[in-house]
This record gives sequence, C-alpha cells and structure tokens, in this order.
Amino acid sequence: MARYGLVIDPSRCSGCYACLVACKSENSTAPGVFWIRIEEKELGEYPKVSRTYIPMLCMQCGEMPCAQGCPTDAISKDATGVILIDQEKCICETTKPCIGACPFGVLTVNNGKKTYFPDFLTPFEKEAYESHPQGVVQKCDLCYHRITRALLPACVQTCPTQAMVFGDIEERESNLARLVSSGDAEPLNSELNADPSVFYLK
Amino acid sequence: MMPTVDEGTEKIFSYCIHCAGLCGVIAHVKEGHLIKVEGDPDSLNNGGTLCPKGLSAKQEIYHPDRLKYPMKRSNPKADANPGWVRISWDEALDTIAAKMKEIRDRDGPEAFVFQKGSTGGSSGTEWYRFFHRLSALYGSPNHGGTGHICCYSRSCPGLPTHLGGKGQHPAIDYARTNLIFLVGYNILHTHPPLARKILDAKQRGAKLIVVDPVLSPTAAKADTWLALRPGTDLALFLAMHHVIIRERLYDSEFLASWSNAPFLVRDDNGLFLREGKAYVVWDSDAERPHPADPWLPPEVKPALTGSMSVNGTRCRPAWQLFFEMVDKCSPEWAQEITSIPAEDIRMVARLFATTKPASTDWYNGLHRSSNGFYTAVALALLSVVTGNWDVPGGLSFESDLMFKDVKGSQFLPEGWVQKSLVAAAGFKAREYNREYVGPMNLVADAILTDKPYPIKGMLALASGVATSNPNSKKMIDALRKLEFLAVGDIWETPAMVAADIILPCATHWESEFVNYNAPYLMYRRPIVQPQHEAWPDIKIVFELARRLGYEKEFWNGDIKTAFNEMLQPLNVTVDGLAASSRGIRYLPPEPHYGKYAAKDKKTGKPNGVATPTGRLEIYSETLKTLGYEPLPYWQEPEPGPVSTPELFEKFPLILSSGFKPMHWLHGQLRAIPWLRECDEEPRVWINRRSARGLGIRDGDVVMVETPKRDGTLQGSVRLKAHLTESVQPQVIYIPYGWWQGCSSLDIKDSGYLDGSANINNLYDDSFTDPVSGTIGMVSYPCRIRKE
Repeated sequence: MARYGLVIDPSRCSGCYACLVACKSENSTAPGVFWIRIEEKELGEYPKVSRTYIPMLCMQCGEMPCAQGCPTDAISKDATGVILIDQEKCICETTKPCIGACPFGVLTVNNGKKTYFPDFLTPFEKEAYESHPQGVVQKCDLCYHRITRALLPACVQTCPTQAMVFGDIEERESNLARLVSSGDAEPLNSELNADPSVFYLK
Repeated sequence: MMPTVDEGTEKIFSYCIHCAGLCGVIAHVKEGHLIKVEGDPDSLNNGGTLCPKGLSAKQEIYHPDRLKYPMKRSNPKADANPGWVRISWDEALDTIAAKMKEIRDRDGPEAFVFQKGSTGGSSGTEWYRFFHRLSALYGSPNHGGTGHICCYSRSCPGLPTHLGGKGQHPAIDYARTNLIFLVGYNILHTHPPLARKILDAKQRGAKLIVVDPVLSPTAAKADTWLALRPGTDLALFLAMHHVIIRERLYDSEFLASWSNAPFLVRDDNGLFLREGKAYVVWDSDAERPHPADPWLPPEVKPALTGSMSVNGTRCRPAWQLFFEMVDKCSPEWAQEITSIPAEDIRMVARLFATTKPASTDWYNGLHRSSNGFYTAVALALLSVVTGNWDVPGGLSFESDLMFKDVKGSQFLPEGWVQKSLVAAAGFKAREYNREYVGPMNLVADAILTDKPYPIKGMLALASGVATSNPNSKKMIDALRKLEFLAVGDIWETPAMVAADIILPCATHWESEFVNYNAPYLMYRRPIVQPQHEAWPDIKIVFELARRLGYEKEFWNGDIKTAFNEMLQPLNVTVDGLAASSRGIRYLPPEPHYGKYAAKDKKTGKPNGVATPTGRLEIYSETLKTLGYEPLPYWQEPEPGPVSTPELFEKFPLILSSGFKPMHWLHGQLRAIPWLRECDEEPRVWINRRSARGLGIRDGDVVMVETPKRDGTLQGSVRLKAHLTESVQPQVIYIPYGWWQGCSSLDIKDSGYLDGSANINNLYDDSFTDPVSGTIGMVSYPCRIRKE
C-alpha cells in the first residue's frame, strides 16, 4: 500500500511564499484560507542572529488526531495515506473539535469572503470557488487531484529552491523513504507520536 | 473534491518576464479564459518551478481595478481630481502626437522627456528598445530610467571604464563556483531561477558569504553574514584588498599580463607614461622601461611595485599606487567604519583569495549610495586581483543581446550627448559612456527651474515615476508643472494625478514578443487577449511612431517585420517560430571564458577587454582625466552619521531600505490579492533593544521622519513596527515600493506623501554619487516615534 508524504528541507526554504500562492492558484481557496503557510523563527541577538522558515501544512498523520473529535466521521484516511475531509459530512456549527485537536494548527474554516473579485469571475473560477462550501473545515490534501494523476502537489512543483520532496514513504527505493529511514528527516513534534507523513530535514 | 480544471484546457507555452529571470511557463486556457499558470518543466531556467509573481498571472489579468480605456482630464492641472473622461485610442494618440510635435517645433526635442520604469511588469526588457528608437527618431537626448536607483554600476551601463563590457551583466556559473560572495543582493528572492542553483552549490560545499546591513532571506542562508553599517561596503572591500596584498594572495602573473597594474603612472600628473602611443612598463629583469601596446612580449617581466625614473620623470606602476592606497585600509581601520570585526574581515579576505574559483555579484543594495560607483569597482577588482576574472565559476560578464540591436541610436541627432541633462549636470563619466538613459531627479530639477533649459512634456510608460523616485513631493510638483504629461500603465498610479492623458497598458501575458527562454527560441503569443481596451506598450509605441511620421523607420507599422529584423542574426523568422507551440530548440554555445586572451585573427594580438587601455583597469586614467579619482578611494556615504553629523543630531537613526521579497517587483503588483496575502503591509524593522528604549512594541503604529539636506523636515511615513534582531540597533529598515491598496482585501491606498507608506517621500534627492548619479538612500538620517 502506498503512503504519500513529503520531506521538507528548511535549509532550502527561503520564505518566498511560492508554495502558498501555487496552492491558492491550484485549489482556488477563498481569501484568508491557507492550506500551507510559512512560520518564521528568528533566534539570537544582532549580529549573531539566525532566521529559519518552516512551511506548515497538513502532516497527514497516521494517527489522525483531528479525526478523533469528529462527531460525524467526516475525516478519513485514503488508501494512499492521504487524510481527506468529506465536506458533506462536515457539519459542526460553532465549535469544531478537529481544529483544536490538530497539534500543528493547519486546519482552517472556510469562512468569510467567497471569492477575490466578486464581480469579476471567469466561468471556471466560479466553478472552482463554489466547490468550497462555507463553514466547512479544510486543509491540504497533497493536491489529491494531482497526485492521483501522477503530478506533483502544486507547492512541490513550484518551489523555486526545491525545498520539498514528494513521494511514497512505503516505496523503499524512493529518495523520500531513504531520507526518512536514515533518520536525517523527522516529523515535527515527534514526541506526540501522531505518525505524520510529512518530515523535516534536521 | 476539487474540479479538475485543467481537463479540456489548451496548454500555451510561454514565459514570464516580470523580472530578468525569464521563467518558462505553461498557461492553461479554457474557452479563452486563463485557468492557471505553472512553471514549464522543460525550461532550463526554472525547471518547472515558478515564483509567486508568475503564479498570480490570473489575478493580474482579470483584476477589476485595471485601467480600462484611455482617458483625458477635464479639470485644470491644479485640481486634485483630474475629472477623467473616457476617450478613444485615436483621440489619445492623436493628442499625444500633436503635443509632441508642438513641443519639438517650439522648444526643441530636448524639451520632451521619454520616461520608462523598471524592466518588469510590462515586459520592458523587451519593448524598451522600440521606445528608445522612438525617442532617438524624435531627437530627444532625455530618456529617463531607473539606473540611478537600481543597478547603475552592475549592468546599466556597468563598469566599462574598468572592466569593459558596457551594458553587460555579471553571469556566474553556480555549478562550478566554490565561493559565492554577494553584496546587497537578495538573490534567492530577486532572481528565482538562480535560487535553487545557489542552494545546490552550497549543498555541494561552496561557501556563501553575504554582505548586507539587514539579515535578508539570502543573508539568512549564508555561512557568513557580514552585517555592516549601511553604505560602508567600500571600506570592507578596501580592507580585503589590504589583506590580500599584505599576505601576497594576489595573482601577480594575471595582473601583469591582463590588467593595467604594471603601467607606469607619472608622479607629476597622474597620467600614464607614454612612448608614442604605447603605454610603458618597467622591465624588472633588464631594469629599463619597455613599451606596452598594451601587450608585452613574453620575455618582459614588468614590475608591479617600486618607484622609478624614466628620462627624468618619476613614475610608479599603477599597482604600487593601488597598494599605497589600500595599505592605509587595515582591517582594524575598516572595523571602526563598518563595525565588522577585523578578524572576520581577515578571514573572509583569505577565504576569497584562496578559494578557486570564487565568484562575486552585487545589486541594488550596493548602488543606492553616494559612494556606490567606487564600491562596485573595489568589489569587482577583488575578482581581478585574485585571478577569478572570466574563469568558470568566477566573475564573468555576459550580454543578453543575441538579437539584432534595433534601438536606433543611429537616428540620434549629432551632439545629443552634450545636449542631455546628464551632461549639463556634469556627470562626465556618463557622458563619456554615451549613456542613453539618465536619472529622473535631473529631469525634476530641470522642470522646476527651467535650467539648463525648460522641459515641457513627458511620455511615461510602465513607470511609477512619482513614487519610485526619491523625493516624491518634488517629483509630483515637477510633473504638475509640465505643459503636457501622458502616462501609460496597467493601474492608476500617483503620477497620473498630474497627467493630461492616461493610457491602459496590457500585461505581458496579453502581449506578443520574441525571446529566448532556454532551450526554446520562442514567439510569445498573447495567452489571452488584452482585457477591456488595454494595449500592449509596443503597440502604443508603434502607433505613436506612425503619427509622428516615422512609419518607414518603424517597419511600416508592422511589429512582426520588426521582430524578423531582431531575429536576423539567428536566421529564423517569427513565422518559423510561431509554427510550433514551443518555438524552436536552440542551444546556446557553451559559455566562453578567458575571452580577453582570445587572439584577433588579423593582428594576432589578444582581444583584451573593451576598456580605454584594452586591459582590465586597476587604475583608471580616463576617470582621472574626467576629474574623478582614478582609484576606488574610501569616502563616507552621504548622508551618513560621519559625513553629515549635523543631520544626525535631531535624526539619530540610520534609515536603510533594500532587499526585495520574491513576491514583489519593486513598486508593482501590490493590488494582487494572492500576493498581498503574503505580505499585507510594510513594517518598520527596529532592533528590539532600540525599540525598548523608545517605548515601541511590536505592532505599534510609528511615525518615521527625515530631514532635507538643510535640516528642515523632508517628510514622514506612518507604519507599524516590526521588532527584530535582524538589524543593527542604530538602523531601521523600511521596505520600498509601497503606496497601492488592494481593494479585494479591503486595503486602501496609503497615499504617497506625508503619513503614507511610501519611503521615497523620506529622501532628499540631492545626495548623489558624483560619478554615477545614483542617489544616497542607504544611510539616511531619521527619527521614529510612537503615534
């Protein structure tokens, strides 16, 4: 069985936001809704100071902590290891337990403005933006519609510094599996034992 | 689940020309609508990657706030509201052409200024050649550009007096270099296709050293970040030369053979000693002078140091003069000036000189200073003295001009250089280089004072002329005083308040051109038709040319014929390229190195470089004869805490501006919501310790104020504070290019004068580099207070 995941190299991430814009372009997410974001960390005192950029997105955790609080079983794991949210079943009106349960803070609610240019949508934009119902919880699905057609997730494809590697962790010969098994890459907050499929190079 | 929107789409192969990077893209178009743009995996430049600017094409094209049709003002110039009235393209262009003729016939062609902005945004790198052709035919020597606030001493025109290669730019093979020394250049963001190549180099062990007063995203990746007082880079480079000479780490054989280091300089007048037309060196074995034409027979070993008498004239080799100058510039001396520890300067100098090959490159951060020219010279000479010049992985220069030059310089009237505002302002080196494009502050001065002659009209294309130039108040006053101003752009810009006519321009996505996006030589067709009534800039230029009577010189108005002329050296035609969706595969010849040593077939002598002496110039006699220092001597940046201490009494902090993030192209694109969500508003970067002393917390709204040269208030900006350790305690950093709102995210324009976000409102534009005319902006006095 496949298990799709990512290895992210923070030493190559320059904080350029191409991943964020590629995600918006590919998935037509609403204003203010981000399925990937970048965390900046500054450490030290001038001039001995460092800054790192960490792309944050759904970690596709094997343990699915987000699903544990879901009253309608809207969150499930696909045969490829990708965690999917069934928009029809996502019905919590006010408190959405999955959001608080996610240790990485990468679930978002599709609220607010529906489109960027309300009076100015091409027919296909309209179709794309309307595919996101208001009030549902959304997140990165590794561009499921792309990876199931042998394309890279949009963020991985566009990254100008090639800081992200996509692949199948179960495929032992893959670059990704090698990085993970060598111990060079680790998930964030590994002490939580959430079993993520997204790893970060040390 | 997402609709799979790219099913049933047409794929159009194109390239993004928002910046000089030129990335190959695939545009997905369905029933005439752009669905999305992606990087083209076959492009050698970007290999399928794409930056936020290119990815946002759709929001740029379909943005509801674009200018939609030509308009003319119906209210008087003094009125804050121009009272725009829609007109036809015919009326707009007929009016502009009539005013251009009227001004030329009444006041002379020099009274009309052609103004262009940065090369991005509307594919300026492509169509500017035709805009030049138009101004040349019209006969105006006044063509305003951006070199004075951007990259004068890198590629516009570069360093022709020292390295030759006017208009060429540094081109570095990052696959082969072992040391990358970057100055004032956030290359990971501003040249996206190089970002992965530089990080690849670093991963295979190349060292990355970044000189920048601010921890930019590129500096954050460096093995060594040299954080210095803004505008003092020159002192650092002179101290590196000091270490390299003292420790004999220079390549004396290269200097003797290919630079003018051995040429004897007369003590009495600072000019080269000559024997007939030849230069003279001191043959150290024979202990006598020997002529150099400029080359030497292999048996002559010229002296690089010493002092000698030739027929009673005391002389020293140029290298001796360079040595004597930098001998005073010890690392301890530079530590006092730059605040970089002397031991770090020694370490970096040794590393640079002993790592082969070592490369260096530089950009905006280095230029926006009153000492920018000599700073670039001193830096470039580090590559020359260490033998890293024009070697694979070292510093070499390349030209982008694979196409036939159609700028039309031959149409310029005789004596145009002397007539230009640049010459009148005394920029002798620019005059010597016969530069087409001059600084816009000279234009503003001329409009406001009528000296050296009145300026009456201007056509500005793809240029945020009011906000991209320092001293926005003065610039807008000048624009208002013009008898006639026409401005073309994609958006309404602040300069348009002073315009008589405004023109809606197409984005580059909606326009055509021919270009080389390796490995494809391509005819770039519009990926969608221009929205509303927008026209590509190139079409505006061609249609104006026709109305001005230059139809014949403009290929009878046929743009494709013009492209065919550009393509002549490549033996292809537009139709040939357009026959295939990708154009044709065209692999450029492997880069040549050691070009200076290649021999001329007729004379059998080396080609050398295109400098006045034919050799790389350590010592510029040309600058000396033009009234400048022949060597890159130390000078404090102006203004600055040392050069203008009186201004720092009441304005004690140093204002710096510089690195640009990947999602912006100078002042453009702020209205694009995807991009604006990456970076909603500019913030003042303040060191945490300084902020504590001023009672400023992160996110507080602060006012930043600056003085004019005479100490009175120049202007203010109002921004939120970002507390950080990425700047020195005396320095604040403000990003540039901000004024525009983003209606989609309910963000309003900030204005562009006092209390706005426009940093150019903070600068007096009179602190200029006497050689290049670049404006001193990196070390500006300021004060800050909580609102």
